[in-house]
Amino acid sequence: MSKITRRDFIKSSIGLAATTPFLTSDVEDGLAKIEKEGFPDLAVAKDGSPEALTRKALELLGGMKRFVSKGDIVVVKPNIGWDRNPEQAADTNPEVVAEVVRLCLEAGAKKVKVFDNPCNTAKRCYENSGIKKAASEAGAEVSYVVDFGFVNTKLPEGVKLKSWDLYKPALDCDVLINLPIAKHHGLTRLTLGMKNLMGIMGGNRGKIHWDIDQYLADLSNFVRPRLTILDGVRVLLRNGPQGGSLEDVKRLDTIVVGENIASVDAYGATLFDIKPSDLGFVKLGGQLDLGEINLERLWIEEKILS
Amino acid sequence: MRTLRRIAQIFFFLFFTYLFFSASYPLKSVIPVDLFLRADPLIAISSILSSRAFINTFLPALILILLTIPLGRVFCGWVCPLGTLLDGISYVSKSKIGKSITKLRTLKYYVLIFLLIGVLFSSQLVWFLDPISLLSRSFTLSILPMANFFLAEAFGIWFRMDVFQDFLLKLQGFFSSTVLPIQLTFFRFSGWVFLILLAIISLEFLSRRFWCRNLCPLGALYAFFSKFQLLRRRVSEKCTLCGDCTEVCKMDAIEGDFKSTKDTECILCWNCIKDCPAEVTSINFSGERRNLKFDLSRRGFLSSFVAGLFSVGILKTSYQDQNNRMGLVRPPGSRPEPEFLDRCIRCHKCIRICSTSGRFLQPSFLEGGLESFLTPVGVARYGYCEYNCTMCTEVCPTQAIHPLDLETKKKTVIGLAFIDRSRCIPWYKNEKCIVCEEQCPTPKKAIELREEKVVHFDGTERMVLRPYVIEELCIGCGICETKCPVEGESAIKVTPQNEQRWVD
Repeated sequence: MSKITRRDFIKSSIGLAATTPFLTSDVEDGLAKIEKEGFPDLAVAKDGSPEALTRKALELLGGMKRFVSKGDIVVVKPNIGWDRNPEQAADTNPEVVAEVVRLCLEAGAKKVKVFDNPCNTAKRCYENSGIKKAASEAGAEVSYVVDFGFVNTKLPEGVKLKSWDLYKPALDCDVLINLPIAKHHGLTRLTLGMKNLMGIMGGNRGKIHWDIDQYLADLSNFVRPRLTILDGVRVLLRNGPQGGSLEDVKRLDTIVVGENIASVDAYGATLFDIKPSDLGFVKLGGQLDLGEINLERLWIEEKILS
Repeated sequence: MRTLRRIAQIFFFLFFTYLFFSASYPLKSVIPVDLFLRADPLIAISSILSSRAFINTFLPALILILLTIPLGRVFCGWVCPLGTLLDGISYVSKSKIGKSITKLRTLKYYVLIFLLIGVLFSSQLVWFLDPISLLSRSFTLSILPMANFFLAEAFGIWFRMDVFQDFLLKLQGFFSSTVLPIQLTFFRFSGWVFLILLAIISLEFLSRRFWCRNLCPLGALYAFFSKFQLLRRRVSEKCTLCGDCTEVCKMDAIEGDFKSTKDTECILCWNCIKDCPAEVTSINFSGERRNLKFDLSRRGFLSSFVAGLFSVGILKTSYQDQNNRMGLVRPPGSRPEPEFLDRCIRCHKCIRICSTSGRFLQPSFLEGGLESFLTPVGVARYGYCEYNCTMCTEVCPTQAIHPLDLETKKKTVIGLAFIDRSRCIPWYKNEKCIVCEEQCPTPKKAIELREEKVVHFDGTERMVLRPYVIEELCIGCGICETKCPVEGESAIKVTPQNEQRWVD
């Protein structure tokens, strides 16, 4: 045990004294008062075309220019995990992907790269999800994830995940935009923003399911995407994460955007009527400072389009 | 004409290669990717005899037979991709023409007889030495994977040097969207198949077209059909007997008098015409017909006949290990096992095209007995049958795998998965996993998770999600086995239990 010197004691006392007024005022004002200056924590757009929803949600958050500067190399990482078509809601909506690409380019991005490390055959997923076509038409550079692009990476703060083969182009970029689709999952109950980051992992990544919540929290803590855009245009309610039957798909026409991955996931949980703290990875994400998961403490801007 | 012949050879070789690469996802080639196999009379005759059924995919082979009757072995000289490959090797290495031994030359007929005897007893053997099947197999199992490996290795070195990575990824993207698979592919027996091709190429250094002169059963069959050949080499009376023509004849088909030709050997390459200093040689339709001799001895005929019988006997009576048979998962649309074996010519088109999709199919070893050696079999630990894919069923030249439409294929059961509870994480140590359930592609999952209260080793109670296979829903695609994260042997395995075969 480290000894507390007098000097340390005095220093921390002063620190505590300095912060106390703020803490007490917070308690006094209660949770209802949320700072209204700057930008919201989360922006939610509902009921509209996938493109309009995406554009609106970003606008509510202050516009893509806040995140993407001129000349940036941007990586947009959608979920292209499965050989399914857009109606089956197993992969991110292609129109949403295309719109995000356009927004990045409009904000001055030098290059927008789109890729994912899928579970099914890569070419099949890229084609059938419609993402390859939509994203390249929007001006993105769509590429396949290749073996030689993985580099063994140390995660110094990882509790469980201490080193893993991660995809270098996803780490090297100026801005990483995480673009998951919200859907059911047998183990984690839902797959949202944090689980989508698995797509930059190589190797025997099935193993991370053995302690998935901690692994996902460690990975998200290390990668920390600049922005997470949750696609809730169509969501998969059962038989996830790949579904296949249209009966399991529900149209929500919702896009959720936020800078903090755990906050986005926390909101995502409510789309399925699940309490955010009931999801292990969201809870751990909150603890690791990946975003506030108590929605009542968040400034959420909602806009219904139609 | 010689230039034209060379152009034709290069064209057909490139065409063969093009069709080889076209056999990949997405399959949208208008020309059947197995055209060369469909146009192979040896494969056509053997498959039809062996399966005792008319197979309509072989109409192109009929056209080739009809062409051969007046034109002779023009296929060997102008079209055959293996012949072109051998010519190319000789061109580069400048190997000598070399003389033939007459006795050795007849070997190809005995090979043909040997192979066709098997066919009479429904034993497909032609695949082993048919040049088209052989080349198709070599391309699939060894040549392309090697090319792919070296390219990926070069890319990897480049990538680690950290310069022009973007350009590199673009280049790689170009290759993977055109000719190469995205991931490396690995095949059983790739080395052996390569050695066989290497041996055939090495024979080229004994004499030009050694394989074609002495061994090729397809050449022998063409020679048989060219018995009434009209298009033949002729030498006018003005011949100066300089003998230059024998120096350029790849097949050593010119007799000692320089004027007469062994027509069963001539592949109409036009070399002797082009290089005749006196310009007295021609190839044309005019003039008398000659009956051709095959120089077969009765002893040789009987020996190959008996050898054929014995090999059929050995193949058909070889022990089939039922334990191994349990691992023999056939591609969807496969015919019942005996009929499947009658038809499969090991061209490995299915294996090739599957390697661009789920990478499920591999050549088998002896799991199904000697008779099923090198037939396509699913190896689920390495790859799986893609749910939305029907490609292997579309490229089989003999329809050993019958074409299936996507909806039928999705419902075609090729096997059943079994969980090994002594290896499965939720079963043996009560912890989380469920990767198999996540990967299961049927809309209503064939792997169900049940939350169970279990007593752990330390006596505490806990809840654990355990996977169960729902037999009625499992189609045996094997993705659960492929993706099972347990190191080494998978904790869930697919066996051919419940498999459905195609019956006409």
